[in-house]
Amino acid sequence: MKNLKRNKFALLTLAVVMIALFVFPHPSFALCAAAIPIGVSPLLWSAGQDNPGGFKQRVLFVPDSMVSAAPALPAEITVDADYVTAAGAFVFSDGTSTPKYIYCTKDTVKYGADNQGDDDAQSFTQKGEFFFPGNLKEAAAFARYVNNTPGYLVLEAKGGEQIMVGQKGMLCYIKPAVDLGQKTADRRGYKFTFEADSFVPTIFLGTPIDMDALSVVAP
Amino acid sequence: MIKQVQNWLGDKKRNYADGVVLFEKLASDEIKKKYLTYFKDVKEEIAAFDMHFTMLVNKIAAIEAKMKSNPDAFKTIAATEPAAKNPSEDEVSMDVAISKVDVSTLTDDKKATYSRIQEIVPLMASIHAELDDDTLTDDERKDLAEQLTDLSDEKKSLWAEFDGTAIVEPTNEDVEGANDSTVQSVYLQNRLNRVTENIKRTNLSIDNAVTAGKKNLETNARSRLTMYEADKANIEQEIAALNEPKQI
Repeated sequence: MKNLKRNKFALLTLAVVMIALFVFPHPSFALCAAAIPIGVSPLLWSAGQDNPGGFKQRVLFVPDSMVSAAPALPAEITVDADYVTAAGAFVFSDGTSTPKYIYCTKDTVKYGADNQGDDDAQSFTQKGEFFFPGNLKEAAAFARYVNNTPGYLVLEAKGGEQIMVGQKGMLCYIKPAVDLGQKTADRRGYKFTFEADSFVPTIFLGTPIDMDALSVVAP
Repeated sequence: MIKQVQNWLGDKKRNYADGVVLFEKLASDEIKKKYLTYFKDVKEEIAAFDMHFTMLVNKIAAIEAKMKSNPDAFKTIAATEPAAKNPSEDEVSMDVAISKVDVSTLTDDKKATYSRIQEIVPLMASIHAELDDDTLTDDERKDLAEQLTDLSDEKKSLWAEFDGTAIVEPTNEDVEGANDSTVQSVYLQNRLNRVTENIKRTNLSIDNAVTAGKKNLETNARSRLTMYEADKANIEQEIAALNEPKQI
């Protein structure tokens, strides 16, 4: 009799939970939005269009632990661009911090995304690298700090568009390495490789950041 | 309206005050109640990662998403914009009446008044056209709306001087007279005055856009300027051709 009552209670609880999920869906269910068909407009390439490869010599890093909100992909898709465009700002919990601006040696910022996963479960591994020259103590300290600190990177393509690596819940992990060289002609410095899982090959930042302003050191 | 929001979000050097104006205009009453005082509680220009600014960006990004998914909900807001002000029926009937004035019966004073009214009509039309530009900021829109109101008031007061007595229906002779070189000369001179005024106003817009760092507005204004300058060159050529001594 006790078991019967317990089973009834369990069934009732399950029913209530199912109804609640139907009426108040969890935000993560927004991923279902991606099930709508993609636009059928043709993909065209305009004559004379510029197409430089690579990225500008700068990168921004934002530790996830320092922000209460980050740019996010829209829950509802209305145009094709919504599939890959994150909007919003990084809201720093202390109200004063800013993304860390990192100068990079020319032609060392690299980004790509490989496909991963079994059939019907495919996604992307976003990955790349950047290089900071020299043997500064500050660079070594940053390498130590970032070694186990996941977050977000913002890269700026030569064409001007900014891309974000890392999303809330699927953060970007950075693996720093240092090579101080052997010969006089060797380049020494810190190489940072990074990786993040995502459903999106490239996340464009719909609310771009003024990187120039962040490179200015306050007197 | 959504274009204004997207331009603001997509601008790396977005202006905080412009964002607050957009928020005040587009956010729901409930959200405004929670955040508007907080957003307005900023005395001077703030840094891009100040919490006021980052939260404002997030709120406006949320508004943009709503505008895309339910544009109808924002139509009423767009309709209450100063830009939506169209000429009233009185103004339209006044413009029709102006076109029927017999200038030859006017005294010199009234001719001057009439001439000023004729200048005002195309200027108002030009401002109406400018107000349709989606890339205008709210401040620019407000300035244009104020100019429009001033011109409208001026036109009404000038029109009151005519008392309707000088209005005549066009006769066949009037229509035939349109081919007369003197009439054409006056017509071209009016067009020249109008386009010169437009060039002056557009140059002012360019200066304002450069000062405010608004690249889009500057580009639009420069393309309008090119158009007006080409128009002016054509009119000047037509006037020169009209004034050339005819070979017999």
